[in-house]
Amino acid sequence: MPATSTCERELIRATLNDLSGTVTLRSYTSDVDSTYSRAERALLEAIAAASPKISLEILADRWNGARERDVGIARTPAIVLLGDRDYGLRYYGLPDGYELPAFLGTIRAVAERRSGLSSASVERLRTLTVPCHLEVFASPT
Amino acid sequence: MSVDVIMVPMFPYLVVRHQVSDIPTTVVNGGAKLVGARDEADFVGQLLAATTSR
Repeated sequence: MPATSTCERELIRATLNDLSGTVTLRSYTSDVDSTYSRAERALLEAIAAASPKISLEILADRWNGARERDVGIARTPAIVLLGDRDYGLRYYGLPDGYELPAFLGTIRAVAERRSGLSSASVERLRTLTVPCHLEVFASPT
Repeated sequence: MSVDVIMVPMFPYLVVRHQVSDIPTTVVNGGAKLVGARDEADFVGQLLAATTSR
């Protein structure tokens, strides 16, 4: 049974086939093989195959506190999205199901080096005077 | 600004820790919660309010 459905593969292809900039997906995952790790790898490989602008790096290692601290991840499985720089975007868990369109949209935004926010919102956010860390709880179902 | 998107099925202990009762919920700097989907302008306003009220 394929790990991604025909519908998902078409969504991935349609969303990512004309990316303007490069994106690196760096997956920090367990070194223990599991149903989850296989599903994650299959999804990320399907995404990477959709565009030559996407690079996929899968780091299936044991937890390395020093490295994870440097990268800025708090737990695994984690997916770090990188464009021409690190935008501070981290996905924890498998972004499939209802979350897949949002994940693909984030990849597009990184590729286009844009936030997607209106200029009014950007101006308002420039007034932030403290570091801001957002944890968004979402569900694939 | 940094953003963590957390898939709740994988991390139930975080749901408990932050007392998340609805999806989506955004936790700001480990404290204030913005619950439910909202439009961009409202979200930005709530975010600014959350970061200045602590």
